[in-house]
Amino acid sequence: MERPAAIRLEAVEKRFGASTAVAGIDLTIGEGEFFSLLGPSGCGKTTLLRMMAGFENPSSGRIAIGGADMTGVPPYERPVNMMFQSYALFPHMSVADNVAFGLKQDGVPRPEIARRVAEALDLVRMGDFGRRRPHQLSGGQRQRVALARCLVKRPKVLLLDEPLSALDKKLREQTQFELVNIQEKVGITFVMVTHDQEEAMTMSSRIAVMDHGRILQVGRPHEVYEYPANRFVADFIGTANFFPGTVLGDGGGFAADGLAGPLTVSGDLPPGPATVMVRPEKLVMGREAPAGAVNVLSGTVAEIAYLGDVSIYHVRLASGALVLATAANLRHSAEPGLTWDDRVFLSWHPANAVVLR
Amino acid sequence: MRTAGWRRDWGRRLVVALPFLWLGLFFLVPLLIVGKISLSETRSGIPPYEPLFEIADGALVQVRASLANFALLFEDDLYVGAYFQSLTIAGLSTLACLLIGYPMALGIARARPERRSILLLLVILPFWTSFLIRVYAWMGILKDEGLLNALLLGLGLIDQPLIILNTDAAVYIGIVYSYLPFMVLPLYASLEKLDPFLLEAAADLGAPPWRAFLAVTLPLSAPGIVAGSMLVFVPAVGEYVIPDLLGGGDTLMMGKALWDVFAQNRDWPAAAALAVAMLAALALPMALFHHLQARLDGEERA
Repeated sequence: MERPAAIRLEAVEKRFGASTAVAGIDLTIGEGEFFSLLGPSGCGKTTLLRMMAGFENPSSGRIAIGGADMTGVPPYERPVNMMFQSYALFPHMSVADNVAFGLKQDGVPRPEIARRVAEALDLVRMGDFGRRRPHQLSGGQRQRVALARCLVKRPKVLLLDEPLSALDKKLREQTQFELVNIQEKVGITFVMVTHDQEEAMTMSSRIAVMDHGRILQVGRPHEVYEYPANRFVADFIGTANFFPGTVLGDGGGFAADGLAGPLTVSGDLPPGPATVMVRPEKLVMGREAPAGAVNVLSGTVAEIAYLGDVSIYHVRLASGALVLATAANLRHSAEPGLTWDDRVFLSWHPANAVVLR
Repeated sequence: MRTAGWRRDWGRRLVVALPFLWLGLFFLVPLLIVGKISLSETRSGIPPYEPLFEIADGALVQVRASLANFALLFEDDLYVGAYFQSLTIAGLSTLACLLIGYPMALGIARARPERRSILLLLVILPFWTSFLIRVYAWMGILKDEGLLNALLLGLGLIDQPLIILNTDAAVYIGIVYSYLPFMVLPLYASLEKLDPFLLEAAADLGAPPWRAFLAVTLPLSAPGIVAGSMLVFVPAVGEYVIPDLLGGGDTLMMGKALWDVFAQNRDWPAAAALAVAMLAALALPMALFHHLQARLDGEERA
């Protein structure tokens, strides 16, 4: 990233008593990025976000925002704003007063406050709701007011703590794109915490996958999906089939535990224990063994999950292992499709698998 | 279904009716009797007032009601003075309770959850001793050769004992001490409900702690402030024991004035009139206040 750094973390650590919430994180987030911290609950992502906002102080390490060291700088003097998971709108103030609150604290002149509040509310399509109270709004509307309240201050960085988790599925999907559009329009760096991999994939320019207080991988959505750095990332983002075994070396392929023949892997890999990972949609499935293909496995259909657009087939191999394969339902009613206990062949191109160490 | 519904309705009515019946019997009826006495004239005898209705041969002969007792209240500076002194003492005591109680309540609300119950217990602890005994204890503390003066003299801070007992200062001390828990508890209840994320949001938007307090904590604890102030102010206005035991000759609060008229002068009608006037002087502004607040709430919701 040649973009100047909006946030730079250096060896940031946070310990609560004996437990370590964040364990030595180095991270640079560029200006204008939509960056996501993704991980299961308790992985330290929210603590990391709260340290950026200034609500928690790092036990050690340094956080710089816009090039300025933030050590000892209280939240109310930081050039960042946070959108809370519960939105934290002031219940005793109107929507317009909520949005104006931050500008009043900065001593912005009244006419400018009025103009900027109206602008911010228009941006989130809440222009007609300025006089309402938060309790008179729906969840989606509150979310937009909370966003406007942060954006109106034109922060260097906007921190979002699970911004969509309180919305229902349909609204959440809509709002994902809306948030991205707004971010592109205002050009502010967004840092979002989420446990929802789909959300992170759809919205982010880059994702940091976290577990147990550490960052396991940072990359663009397709990078973390197609080339996960380890088994946790592969498993947490999307679905994956794992074949543990040994790289034989010298072009000998990969001996997977419980499978008869060796698997073909791409690239020249040093020998040793490893795991081959293949995504379910990368598998080709059929009743006949594909001619001339490598990495062919056979098994029987144990389970079919029909999702409408795709079906997920659970195929049991001779070894007893279950392999997941996704097939798009391309036609209205396919020719007598695969059903339970059918014998099927699965294959994949070596380029579509990843060897994890 | 209908029977069940009717039964449920009946049960609901019974539950509501019982407290109303209780209050009606032991509050409203006595109040009406007091009201009746306030309109009659005093006489020596038992009861020490003229009957309001004269009944002869089963027919109402004469109604003798007079507002003379009420007129007396306004003619005599003593009662008007007692009224205003009561309001002043109660008002200032309420303010003092608020200023002392608010930081206490805030401290308890922000303490770690496992400590909160202990701190709350300490607030309620004085109730385990009789109110009267605690006021007597204050006499022991405040009198000229009492604990407080002994301490201050011993420390060399003063060389003459302070005269506190039997002054207004002692009354203020007594009232603030006695009613402080009634201020702290409702304040705590409203502060404890305050979402801590709101204060973080205020800080995040650029408000230093004191401004966040004024803009968020204070307005959101307004219901607690109102409830606590009412709980202190209302009984403090009619307080009798504290001014009687701790106050001096010039401390004349309404409760004490009432007692003097009733027990010393044995003028039941005048005492009843005083009681009714006191109730009206307190209840009417309060009813008005509630009415206004309800209307404001209604407007907000509309």
